[in-house]
Amino acid sequence: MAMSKKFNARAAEIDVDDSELVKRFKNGDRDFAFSILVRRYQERVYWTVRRIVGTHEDADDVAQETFVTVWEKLDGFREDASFFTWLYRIAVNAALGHIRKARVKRFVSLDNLLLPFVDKDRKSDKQVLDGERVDAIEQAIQKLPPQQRTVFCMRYYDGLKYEDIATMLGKSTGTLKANYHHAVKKLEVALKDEFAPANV
Amino acid sequence: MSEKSEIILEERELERERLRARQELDSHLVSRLDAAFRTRPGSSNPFDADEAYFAKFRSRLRSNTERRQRDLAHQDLPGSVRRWFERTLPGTIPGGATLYFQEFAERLWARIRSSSAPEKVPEWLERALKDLVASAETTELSDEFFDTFLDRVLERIDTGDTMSLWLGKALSAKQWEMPVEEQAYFDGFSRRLKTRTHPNEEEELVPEWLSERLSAATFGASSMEDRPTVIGRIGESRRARKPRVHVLHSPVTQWAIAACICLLLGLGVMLNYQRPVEYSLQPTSYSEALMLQQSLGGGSLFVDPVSDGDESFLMDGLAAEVRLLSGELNSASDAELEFIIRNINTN
Repeated sequence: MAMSKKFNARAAEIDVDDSELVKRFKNGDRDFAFSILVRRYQERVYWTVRRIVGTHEDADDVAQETFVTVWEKLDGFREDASFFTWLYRIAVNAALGHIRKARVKRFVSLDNLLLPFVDKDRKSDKQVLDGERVDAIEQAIQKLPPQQRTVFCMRYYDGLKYEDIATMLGKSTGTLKANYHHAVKKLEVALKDEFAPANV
Repeated sequence: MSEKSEIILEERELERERLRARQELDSHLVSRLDAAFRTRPGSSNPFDADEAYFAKFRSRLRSNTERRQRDLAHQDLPGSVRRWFERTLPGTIPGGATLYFQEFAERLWARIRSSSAPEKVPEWLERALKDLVASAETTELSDEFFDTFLDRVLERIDTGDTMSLWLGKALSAKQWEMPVEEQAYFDGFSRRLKTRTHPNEEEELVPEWLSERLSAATFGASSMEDRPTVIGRIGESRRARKPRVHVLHSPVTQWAIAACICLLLGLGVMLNYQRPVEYSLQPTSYSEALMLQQSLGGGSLFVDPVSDGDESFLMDGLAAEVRLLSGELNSASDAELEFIIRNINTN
């Protein structure tokens, strides 16, 4: 019986629209509304920022910061756009802010040096090979300058239009198209070496 | 149209855009790029974002929001009121400290209720005052003392925490959806000005040099004409400083840095650090920055080791501006900050 009640409550949560949750949050039911919004979008936010900042730890920090900001600012959300669009903007801005701070601070990161060796001990050869390929792609993306990387991820992985990206980043669509073009060219060159036909 | 239908349409539109983005690329590249973030082989990777991770994520988020709530309660309090609470009590309080605060609470609460800007006082303060008033006893304090005291507090609340109108507007212009560079600009701007306008109880004017510079950069009468000039100057000076980056790339410095890194690596191994260790040449305070500058032989403080090469001129200017105005140099005194700005402007 208790299980059934729990299940029904959960099902009801899933059915609640974002705008309804925002309304409930603003009306004081903050914990309930916020916890559902977090459950609903935590993974998307995590992967959006992960693609921009690169590492899990940075993505974790930025995703936390994003949701804390949402919690703090949701009362003032004017609902001109959908909740997710608003959330996405905050996440991207937080990721870019993080990069801006980190790129000045980061001189050497042991994380990048040590992790591959730690992981190799636990994986099969096949896993290691696949993992290395994924790492190579991630690294190629991470080597892109921050703006190119961000534009590429927003366009390629998140499917945003140039016009939307332009609004979020405060750039012209021409600049963004150039960024995207350069990013693709650089990735082609970088991945050509990693994935020569003989190696695939 | 219901929100669900809108979401479905939005999702479809995103998917169409994703497909469009992929059509522009070579199919081999597409399959490799998609593989990177869709399948993550080697799930033994401790950093994989799995269900357990997200459960912990939510739990930490709860603690973080609770902490932020506590912080915000104090941030929301108008600075002038907070300072009144924090100020040193007079050596002799007529009637004793308890009565002093009871009287203070009662009068402040009464005036807040009739204030023209009650929304500027956080609810928790109002509640606290109300509670205090409920337990208040009769006092024998001087009405004149409290009237003067409260007039001053309310004057500050009513005038937007002593900020002049243009400054209040400027600070409220920040929106959370703004591009991150603009937000950082506003944050830095706001922080510096607040520090300058509220250093103590006495009204201290914003130093003339800072006021002129900021109003010329953003809010002056001819701001549209002046802004590119000021930002341009920063951008130019930044470009002009770029040769100084060689300080970091000189063989001696690089050897010194390498030696430091080896030493720190050794220490890290000894201490068995599991977390990634980052070595920073970025000072966290102005005094550190000066030390670093001296140790590097007088190189620029504003060395940026990474240059994208594709960022716009405006971004360069703003980045320099933000760095100036933001927390990196938050602990700098007026004189120190003035020195830095003069240094940049003459570069």
